[in-house]
Amino acid sequence: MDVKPVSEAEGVPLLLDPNLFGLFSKRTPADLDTTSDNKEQNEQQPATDHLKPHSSLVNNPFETYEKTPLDQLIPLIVRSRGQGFKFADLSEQLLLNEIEQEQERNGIETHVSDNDNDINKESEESLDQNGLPLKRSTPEATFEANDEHTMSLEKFQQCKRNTIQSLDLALNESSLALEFVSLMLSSVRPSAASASMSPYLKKNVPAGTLSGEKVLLNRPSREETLQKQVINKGWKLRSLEEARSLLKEVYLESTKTLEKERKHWSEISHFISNKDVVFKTRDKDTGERSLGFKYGYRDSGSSYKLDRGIAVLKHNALLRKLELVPIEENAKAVHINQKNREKFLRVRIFTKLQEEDDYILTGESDLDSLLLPEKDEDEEDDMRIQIKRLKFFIFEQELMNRILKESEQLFSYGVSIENENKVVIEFPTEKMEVEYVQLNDDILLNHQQDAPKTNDKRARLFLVMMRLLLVVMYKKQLKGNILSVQQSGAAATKNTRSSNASKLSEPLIIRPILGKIRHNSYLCLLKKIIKDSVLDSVLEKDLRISPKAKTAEDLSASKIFDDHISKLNMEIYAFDEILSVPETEIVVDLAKNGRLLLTLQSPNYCNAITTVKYVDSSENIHFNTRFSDFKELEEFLHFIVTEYVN
Amino acid sequence: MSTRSLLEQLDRTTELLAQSLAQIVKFSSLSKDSDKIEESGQVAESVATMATDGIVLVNTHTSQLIKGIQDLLVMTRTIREKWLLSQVPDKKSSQDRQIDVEKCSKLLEEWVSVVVTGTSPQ
Repeated sequence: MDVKPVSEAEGVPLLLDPNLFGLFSKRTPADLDTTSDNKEQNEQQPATDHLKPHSSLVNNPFETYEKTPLDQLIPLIVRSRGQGFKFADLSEQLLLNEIEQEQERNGIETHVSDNDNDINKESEESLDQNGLPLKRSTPEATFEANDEHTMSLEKFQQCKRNTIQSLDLALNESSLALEFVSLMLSSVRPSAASASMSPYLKKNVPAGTLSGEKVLLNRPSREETLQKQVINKGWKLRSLEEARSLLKEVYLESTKTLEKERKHWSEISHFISNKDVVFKTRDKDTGERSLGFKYGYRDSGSSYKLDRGIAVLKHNALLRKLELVPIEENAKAVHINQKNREKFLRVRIFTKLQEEDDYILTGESDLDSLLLPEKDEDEEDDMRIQIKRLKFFIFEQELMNRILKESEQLFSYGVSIENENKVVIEFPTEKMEVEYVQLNDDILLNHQQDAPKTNDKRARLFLVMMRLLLVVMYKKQLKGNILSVQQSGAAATKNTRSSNASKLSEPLIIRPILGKIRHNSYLCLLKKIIKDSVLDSVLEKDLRISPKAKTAEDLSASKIFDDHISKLNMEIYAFDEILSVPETEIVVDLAKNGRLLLTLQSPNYCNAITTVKYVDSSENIHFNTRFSDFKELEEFLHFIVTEYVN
Repeated sequence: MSTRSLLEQLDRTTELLAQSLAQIVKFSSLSKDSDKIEESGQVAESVATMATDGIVLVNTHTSQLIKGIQDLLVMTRTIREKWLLSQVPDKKSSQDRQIDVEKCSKLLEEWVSVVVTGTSPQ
């Protein structure tokens, strides 16, 4: 029990409650030890470690007791002693006893808790050396050092870590509390508060914000709200006004467009019939969507490819009417005036003067009524006229193209190509000129002044026939197209198709006409020969001339189920009279001397082959000879007459 | 464009038009709006925001209105185009013209006599 004197020596001079003494002695090192930062933490530790048995007063700071005047200290002591205690009763002996008891209780506690003599001793020792601050920290260290015998290094590290963690936590908490208090204080004493505030808080939170002041709600005055409402209404009105003007603008604009469009469409519906070919296209110049109009004859069977015959329907803003603008296929043609397309065919007949080697114009085909300038032009029909003109010109263009092609092969029959716009067909007594003429004002003017000539009608008919024959070509092409489509579906014989194609490719415009005329002249010649060689020398005779009987084999022989084809056949057949190869039979009845049968054929339309048969009175056919030369024929006829007839 | 899709488009467009118009009318009413503000005691800012919002909305709906009408116009154009392009040639009228072959050959004979011999037949 050497503990007692030490504690007495230390405790007594202070004149303090021994109960408090233990606390204070422990507090001293704590105070000295710690900086202001972990003051609170240190306060906590002793409280939990050693001061459990003591009353609440132990928490009071030491300085307060030391400095408290005696008149305050005594009641404090009295209070701590509990009721019924008088300060007068407090004697040194009593205090010693109490200390002794205290020491004993502590000793038991340490014994109970640690069960280790060394620790107990150490703790007592530490208690003895209360005043020494540096030694105060040893108990833990020694405790840990002693513990090493039983505690592993790991466990020690764990404990250390835990302790550090707790320390950090506590430090953090305390800092937070400090910040909080500082912030609260800042509204009242800004300078004092800002001193203890962390830089972070100072930077991010304005001072005095935790003051909890009451903010006055500024109710807007009646005038203000009214003004706001007026502004609101003003904005609304303005936006409505803007919307109104916008709508009006667009309305006017679209009405204009609508009117234009309405006119456009009504014109279209008025002029475009369901027979016209209309399709969607894009205007190459403007890139606008527009309607294309096909005035070419492709769908009617034309195979002309130089001009596709396509126009774009355009609204001419200047003339306020619909226009057809033909699309130029090749870029070169762009520069050429549109008027250049307006070319037409003119047929002129020149008759040879008997005496001189010169020709005189005796007939000219007149202008199509379409080409004449329209007097008091009817606005309603303007579009139709445009279409008609376009159709007319492309037709003429193709016709000329075909004629030129055909004429190349007919050179030996008096057909010559003077230039690319003129074909001349020569006959013994006259010549015909087929000319592709530019329509211009001179022609129009001359036409009106021209006096009618004798051969005008022939020229006109000639031209008409050429056009009709081109139409027949179209029909044949169309028929071929339909057939090839049908045949490609079914198993078709290639022969018929190829023969079809070859037949179609051959132009037949000049040739049939030329053939007719030449045949006629051959016939005249033949008649003359017959007259000279036969008729003049025979007394009893009868001459019969008849064109070969038509054979309707085409229509009846082939069974046709298709409506279109049968119709086309009909239409083509209608021209059989002119298209069939001319063939004439001449029968010279020589009474009792039998008959002479002559057949004039013009294969290839233009040649002449004469077949001569002599049938005697007993119906025996003696000769069946073909001649292509009239001289030979003449001699042969002479021979027959002299041999058989006379 | 098929008839069905045209009808659908028509429905859509008319609905859009009706909606836009209704919205414009809604935002253009003045009295109702201010009442509401007084009732709820709204502060000035909201008035301002409502005003600007209203302007924007009126604007958008107006442009929607215009666009819808333009769509309708385009539709009429489409319909017209459709009508024009899908016309079927009248078969009857083209079949009416029957060809009289006899007459044709007669005319052709006449033609031959005129052109070839230069004399009109009696």
